[in-house]
Amino acid sequence: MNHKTFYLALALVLIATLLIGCASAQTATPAASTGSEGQSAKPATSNEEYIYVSCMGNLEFFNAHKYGWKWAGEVLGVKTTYVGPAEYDLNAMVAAFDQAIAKKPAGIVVFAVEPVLEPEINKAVDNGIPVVTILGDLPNSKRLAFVGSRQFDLGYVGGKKLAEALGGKGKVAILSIPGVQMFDDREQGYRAAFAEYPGIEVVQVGDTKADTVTAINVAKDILQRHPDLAAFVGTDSTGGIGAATAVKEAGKVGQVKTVAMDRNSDVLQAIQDGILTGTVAQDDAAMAYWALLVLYNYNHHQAPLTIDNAKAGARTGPTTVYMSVNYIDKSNLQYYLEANKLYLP
Amino acid sequence: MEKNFAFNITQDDLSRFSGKGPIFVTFGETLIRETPADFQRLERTENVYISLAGSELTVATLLARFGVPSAYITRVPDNPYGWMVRDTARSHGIDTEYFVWANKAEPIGRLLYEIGRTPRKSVGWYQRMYSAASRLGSGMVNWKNALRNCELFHTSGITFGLAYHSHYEQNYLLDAFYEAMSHKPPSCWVGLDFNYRATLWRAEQCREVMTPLIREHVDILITTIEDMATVYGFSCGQYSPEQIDKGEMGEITDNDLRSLASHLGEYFNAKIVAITIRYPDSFEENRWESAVMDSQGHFFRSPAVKSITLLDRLGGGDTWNGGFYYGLLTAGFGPEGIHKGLLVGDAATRIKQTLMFDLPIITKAEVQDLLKADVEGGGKRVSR
Repeated sequence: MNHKTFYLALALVLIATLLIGCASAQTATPAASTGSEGQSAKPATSNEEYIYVSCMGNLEFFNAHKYGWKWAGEVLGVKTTYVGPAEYDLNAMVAAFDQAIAKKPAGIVVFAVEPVLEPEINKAVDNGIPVVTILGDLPNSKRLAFVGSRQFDLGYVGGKKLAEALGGKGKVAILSIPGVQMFDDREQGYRAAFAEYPGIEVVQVGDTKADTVTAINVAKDILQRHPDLAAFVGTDSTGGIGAATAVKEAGKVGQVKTVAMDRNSDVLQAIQDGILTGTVAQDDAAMAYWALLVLYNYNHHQAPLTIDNAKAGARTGPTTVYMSVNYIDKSNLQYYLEANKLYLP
Repeated sequence: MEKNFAFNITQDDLSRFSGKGPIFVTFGETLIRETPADFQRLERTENVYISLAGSELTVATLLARFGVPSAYITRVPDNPYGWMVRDTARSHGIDTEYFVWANKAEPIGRLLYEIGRTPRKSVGWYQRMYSAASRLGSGMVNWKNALRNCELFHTSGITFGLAYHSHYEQNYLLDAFYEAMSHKPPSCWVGLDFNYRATLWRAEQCREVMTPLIREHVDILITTIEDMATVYGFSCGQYSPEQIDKGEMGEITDNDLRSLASHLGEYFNAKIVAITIRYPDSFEENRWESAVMDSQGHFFRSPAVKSITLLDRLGGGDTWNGGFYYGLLTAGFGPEGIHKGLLVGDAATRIKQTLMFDLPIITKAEVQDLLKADVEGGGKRVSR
């Protein structure tokens, strides 16, 4: 599926989801497995709790998720709770997941960062709690659906924007974390975009090992090896900031363009300072909303696929929701900067 | 036993710091430290360990490693040694955006250091006259931007002695400090480790600069009983400055420390006074404790005086500062934060001083384990 077809398909899925939701609410279908609200138009849900289990909560990246999760709860009239360790601590995350299950919430969203979470997801589902994975997926688990970005698209959108900024020609280096599927997919997206511009050549892929200092040093090496380099792209924020720093310290700001990933404030600040050309942003705040919406619709607005979906063992609704991808440069930077302030805890 | 294990620092929620730029900002000088790697005397060594030393960078290193967005500001030559300072700071997550770059030919400060073994003393030789950092003056740093969301600004008394050491007519770093103060947010606290160094300036020179500086700008004063006796002639409760100077102190009571801290708070108009106490029993074994008192009279002291088997004591006081600040920044500048900071500072410095070189290459989990072991016991077996 090329990207245009993909977006068309995504749009149709989303429209269909909305229509199903509306139709369900308006026609008061049997709401097969959750028919307790019967014919009422709007279920009483204010005591219904949904829990987002995550980790690394100290990272700015998750501020938008926390904000989006809270906002989604207010929009849908349910209680939302965000739990999990501040650091990358899987034992603590599993413990938080267990505690979440014990509260018997109406649904759980989990950042499925490692397979160790799969038994937890299955345990929740076996206890009658629907689970949606977010950002990362564990497709072999019993999760209801995955909500997140299509990694290929993140690279493709960044690649197209950079190609336009370069006028369709120039040598490009990619800073990534080779061997990690998510980043390899982003790299493939970049390469697919560049393939549409014969004048663009990818001369090297540097391994940042997800470390800023390494990224800076790798970028400096590449600049020495390719003095006519036209641009860097980073498949994560580390690569973008690393490349931008190297370009700045080599005195090549303006001469070498750089496109980063994600919308952390340091990345946005670098765009404002003219050190970064732009960055690719995930649909982060909305991601949390859509994850909750999937759970909410599962509980309250199941389409009448059968006369009783639960008894029929029939699953309905999306299993994958890919979110939009946006590109940030100086022209729209301010809107994202202000939102980052809004997201502050 | 006093229950002091009230915190789990590995679970601290630091998300409120994210996306704001540096929350902790400090400025000063970093030295290239050379330590014999071949067990020879300094004048005979043919092989040295190169490492970094300096009060402020050490504090920033601990805080950055513990997850507090931190910036370090200094002036270094644009040569491999300057790059080393930048790259090392970066490797710990410190923001180096505001480094000031000097001509590559300007000198960088150095510390030649020989670690003692009882009864031979540890010896340090400064070579920091005319260093690039000593000429960091006003107009060189975008303080407004650097301090835009700063909650705690820190420096040390060493910084302001550098001009005297180089016999400058102008105290560039003092000018830079006052410029920084004019740009800091009103809510930003200012901390200072008094850190008197007799090799840099005389006591009267130090008093002349530091007294108004602290009275006008410093909220948190960190010092030692010895520095206050040497520079100001202050006693510590029952102990006279002469007794302190000769090392003739016996048991230090709470009342002794309360008396000194209270006096310092009033004299310097400081909101918080912290006193770190090192008992240098030998060049291999030291004991350590600390005490803190705020202007409301809340007084905290280490639950016990703890021994440390030294590998390298340099950076120990600065590491305590970092741990103390961590408590303040994560639990507030009131009693809870002070208590937490004292415990974290004590544990962090005890671990640091068992490690070589100045910078605290330690983790929150290590500190948490030590805090836990101090209360619950255990923690003596090899961790595998």
